[in-house]
Amino acid sequence: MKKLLFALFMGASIGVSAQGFNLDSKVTDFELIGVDNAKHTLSGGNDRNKGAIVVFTCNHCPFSKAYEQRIIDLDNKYRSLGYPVIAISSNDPAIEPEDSFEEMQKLAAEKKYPFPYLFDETQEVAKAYGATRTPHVFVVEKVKDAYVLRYRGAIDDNAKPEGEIKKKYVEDAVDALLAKKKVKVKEVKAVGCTIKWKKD
Amino acid sequence: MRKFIYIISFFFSAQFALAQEVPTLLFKDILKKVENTEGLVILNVWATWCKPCVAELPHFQKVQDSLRSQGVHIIIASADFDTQLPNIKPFLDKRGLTLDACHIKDGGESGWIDMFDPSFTGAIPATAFYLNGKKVLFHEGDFTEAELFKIVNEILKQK
Repeated sequence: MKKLLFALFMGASIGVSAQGFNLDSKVTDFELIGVDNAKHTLSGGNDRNKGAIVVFTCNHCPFSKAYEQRIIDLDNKYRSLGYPVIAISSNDPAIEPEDSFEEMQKLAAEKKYPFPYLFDETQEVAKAYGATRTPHVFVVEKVKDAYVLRYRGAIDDNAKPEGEIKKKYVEDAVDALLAKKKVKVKEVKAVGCTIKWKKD
Repeated sequence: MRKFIYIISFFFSAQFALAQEVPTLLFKDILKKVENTEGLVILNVWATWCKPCVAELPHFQKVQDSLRSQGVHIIIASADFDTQLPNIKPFLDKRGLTLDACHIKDGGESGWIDMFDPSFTGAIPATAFYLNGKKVLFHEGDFTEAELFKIVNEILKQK
């Protein structure tokens, strides 16, 4: 019966199953256009970088909006320590016009984003990383020439803009990596907006 | 005496105001209710801010209205911030939605996400189907009306 439902379900061809890279495994580099019209890669930043905080986010999602300042703060705190933020929007603007490249450019200028804000037009990067929602964070550590996934999930334990934050998961992960320690909490799920996948 | 009446009426109006809110429940208690209900129970997680969630709510209403007699019961559980709690009932009323609604009390901590389904990443909407208390299907993402009816009818055939 379960099998039948599953078959039926797959037949309806809805939903995107995103597996993504495993924790403590290498991730693939990407090359995407940023709101500055330049190409950006994971590895292309400062040679002294020790890793990166890759944030799948977007313009329209209320959760992304609630976290916007906290994402800026993460970059301001960790860029100089070798963990810059790289923000990526993978949403299909045909579904969410507020997430078009032009709107991304406007928002980045308006909010003076200190980090690159990249457009994943083909959605391949989101699929490869297994990003499903916004915001969805991937902390990667540079190991020799490769980047290894060390943390995946929520920024902290309270999305509410005025809420009390008890645990800062991304900061804890990056702090551990900077101290050459193991990341204790490697994944935290949280509610977010679905990435707006292109309709087949 | 006047003061007394005032206090009494205030008490009643406060009670009335409370009745205008959907209940806020721990996710484990929502699941308990689902698992103790016979027939086909559909548990949908949504939020007032979530566009695709709001867009599919009328589909759930249609299924509920047309298949209630066949033992279909739909529960919509809102993942809104608790500050949004007073707005949920008016939000549903405005759209003519009479579905069995509640609010998920579990804040910050992510335990309930895995409790709903281990494959659930937190991206909403997400919906699970339970037949006589046992989960038979979980889906992260939205449905068209046709997709939802197709799945519901298929599960009802298995009853």
